[in-house]
Amino acid sequence: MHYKRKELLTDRVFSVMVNSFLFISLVIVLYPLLYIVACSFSEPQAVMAKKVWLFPVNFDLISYKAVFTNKQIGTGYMNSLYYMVTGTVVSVLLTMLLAYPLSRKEFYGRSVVTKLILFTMLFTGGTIPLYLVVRNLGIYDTRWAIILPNAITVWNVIIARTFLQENISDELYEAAEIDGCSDIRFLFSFVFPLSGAIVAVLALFYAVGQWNKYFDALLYLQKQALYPLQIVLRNILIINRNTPSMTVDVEAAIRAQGLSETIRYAVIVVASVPLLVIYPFVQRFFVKGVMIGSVKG
Amino acid sequence: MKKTLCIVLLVALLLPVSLVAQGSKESASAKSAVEYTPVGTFPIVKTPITVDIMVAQPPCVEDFNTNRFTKYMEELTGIKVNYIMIPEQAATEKLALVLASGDYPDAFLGFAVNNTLETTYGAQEGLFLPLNKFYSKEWMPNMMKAFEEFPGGIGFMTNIDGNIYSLPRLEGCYHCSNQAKMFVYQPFLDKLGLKTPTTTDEFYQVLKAMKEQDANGNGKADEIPLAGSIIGWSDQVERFLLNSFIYCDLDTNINANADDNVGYMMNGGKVDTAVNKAAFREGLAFINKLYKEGLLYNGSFTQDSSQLTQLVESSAQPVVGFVAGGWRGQFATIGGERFNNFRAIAPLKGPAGVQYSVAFFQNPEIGQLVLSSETKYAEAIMRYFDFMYSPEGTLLQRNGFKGEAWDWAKSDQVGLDGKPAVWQQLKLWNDKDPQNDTWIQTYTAAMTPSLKNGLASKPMTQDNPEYYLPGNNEKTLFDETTNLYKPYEDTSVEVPVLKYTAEESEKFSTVKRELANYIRQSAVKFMVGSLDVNDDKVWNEYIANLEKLQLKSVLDIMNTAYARQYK
Repeated sequence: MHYKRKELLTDRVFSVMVNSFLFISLVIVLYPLLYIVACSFSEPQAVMAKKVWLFPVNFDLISYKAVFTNKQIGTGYMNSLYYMVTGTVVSVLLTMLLAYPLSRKEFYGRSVVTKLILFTMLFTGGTIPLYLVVRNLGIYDTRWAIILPNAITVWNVIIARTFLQENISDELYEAAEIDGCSDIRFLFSFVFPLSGAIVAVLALFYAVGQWNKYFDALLYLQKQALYPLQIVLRNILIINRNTPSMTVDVEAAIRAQGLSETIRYAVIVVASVPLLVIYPFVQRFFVKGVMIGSVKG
Repeated sequence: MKKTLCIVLLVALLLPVSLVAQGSKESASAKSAVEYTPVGTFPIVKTPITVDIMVAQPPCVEDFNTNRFTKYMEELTGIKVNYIMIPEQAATEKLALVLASGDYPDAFLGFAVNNTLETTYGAQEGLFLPLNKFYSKEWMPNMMKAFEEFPGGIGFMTNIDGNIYSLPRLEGCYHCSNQAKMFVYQPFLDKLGLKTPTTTDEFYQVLKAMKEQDANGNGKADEIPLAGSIIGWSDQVERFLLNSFIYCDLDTNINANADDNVGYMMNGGKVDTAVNKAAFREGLAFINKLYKEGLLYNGSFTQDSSQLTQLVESSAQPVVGFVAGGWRGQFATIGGERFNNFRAIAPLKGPAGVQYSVAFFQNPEIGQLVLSSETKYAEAIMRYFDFMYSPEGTLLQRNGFKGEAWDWAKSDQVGLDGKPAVWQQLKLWNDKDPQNDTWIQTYTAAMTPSLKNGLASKPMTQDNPEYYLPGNNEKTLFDETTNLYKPYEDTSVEVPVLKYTAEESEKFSTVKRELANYIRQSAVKFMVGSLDVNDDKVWNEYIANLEKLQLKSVLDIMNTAYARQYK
């Protein structure tokens, strides 16, 4: 009896400690996010005077006004969404098409191809050769220049290949083959439906990568109509920075001095919202066991 | 099997090479004749031509092709420019990529091609067209006239190989030439009944009084007598204070350029350095004393200017007494009560009578327009841009249209410098809002000192309550610079810009960087006391390390360059 009570006590102490540890971790992770949101809705002068700590002070939408009155923000948003959706579809498809053959033991030249792919992980041609390739392929200054180069990430191919190797069993393939199933049919009717988890992971990685893409657009795009959101936001930041150039228009200078503090918070919020919205929908795939019951015996 | 694979791979390797080779051949097409009108008349060409210019687009200009000033230039000159816009942030990378691709525009505008890049692409690879011919009154009368106000400017533009590869931006920022300023919160002095300090001793007494006698009168000892920041436009306190001991342009920000602001100075006609002199040590010891006694804010060597602004502005009552900065907007909310009450003070007289204001040369900004060596329209482009160096062209390009944004001054108006004004501003200049009327940022233009200081301003004395308001800022800065800093400037001790051969810069770039880093870090350590400035052993070790880092060779190479350019 006595012994049991003691164990309960330690259990309770343990769970209190775990919970408080998790709570502290949560606060550490959450606080900067809340702080950013609060600052973005505050009056610039209040942020400059360090009055904001958790809630917006002197609620003010001026930072968002500066972001959303920019003429390019609409096209930038649409472009980024387009690059993200199309780019992700292309990337995931190409990655799976590469990873699946590499996962099959009977694929001839598997190790050579793997080594060639790994080679690109260690060595790259550099910016100038890549630029020349983009130019000479005729995709310079088109949307393809953002989607096609670096469409496949080697790291993701390796993850996908390992997943497929472990989860698509040879027995399954043999069973399908006996029934007269072709390789292509097997890929689309069996591999894709059974790889929901890895497709979701790949999609998330690629989507985040595409959404954050900034430098490729700087190098390969010229038409302003094709600029992704990140470049537009960057321009908004630059125009509102507090420079010693000294704008003579005092009102504009005062506004910029304040905005240089708060606008970065508004920009972070604007740039992160789409990903925050998508994440919960993708997240359920991470925990779901897909392969349960696919092969019996 | 292996053989076929080899052949396939070889073919795959060679294919792109041949494609690239073909591409570059096409661009060298036959030159067509352009008919020009005499220089100095408009339009420039008899039959309209089209020129491709790649431009680094600043965010404040919406579109260079539909811009109203561009249209004006097209009508005036008969030259249609097809502006290829690329984002300003990627200018350097883009320049390298375009030059490597072999498909050049006729010119590059606003890429700020620096001296090193001009040596690489111009002198070594021959990709830029030498513009020596155009630096003459026959070709570019307006630009040559503007250069008269920038003595030594053309020498500055000349590359080490004797050629000039670019057109400059000429901006005569008068108050920037003495930007290491110090400001005091005047109400503190008034409350304590103190006078503005003129010597380092008085300065020390005033700081002490501010700290001990509750300058803001809130009953708390929360005063910060002196503050600065390590990142920010001349926000560094040592830039002001060291010059009461020895002439020293040192900027302790570790990311600053390794060539300038490392404490080099002219000494008896030779390049020397301040950082191994006894007077420099005294200066550091003085700052260290302020730091130790809590008179100098201890975050001054870690924070940036926005944190400095927070320090000045965040408290309910003002706490900061003295602040270093290029102007009051560097550390206070523009137009706020604190902004309006800070006053500049003159350089302090040191114990040995030293009293300097650091001289910052207003050199032309190199590399604003470079021409591709393959262009066939060099004459047309040069004459097109020459117009922008005239006062009228500058104001049209920078401020906007005559009669709307600016106009010539009326006869009774007075300029910033107290002389009859040249022009008046009708619309306030502003680079914070995207617009499509002008080019705003004067890439190729001449805001000469006479034009800048010829801006009509309201005659006002310091007793006028509006004098220190932000609307009068240009005038305030002009007067402060003239009255408080110019008298203590000695341009003969500041090292002029030196140019190195490709070999020299290659050999010494790492050495200079390491030396500069060491000097900057050590200076900060001495000031905050992590190295004891009063300990002879520590100081001698510092001197020995400077020698180990090849201080002498760096000075030698600088003297070689100096002798080559200025003797």
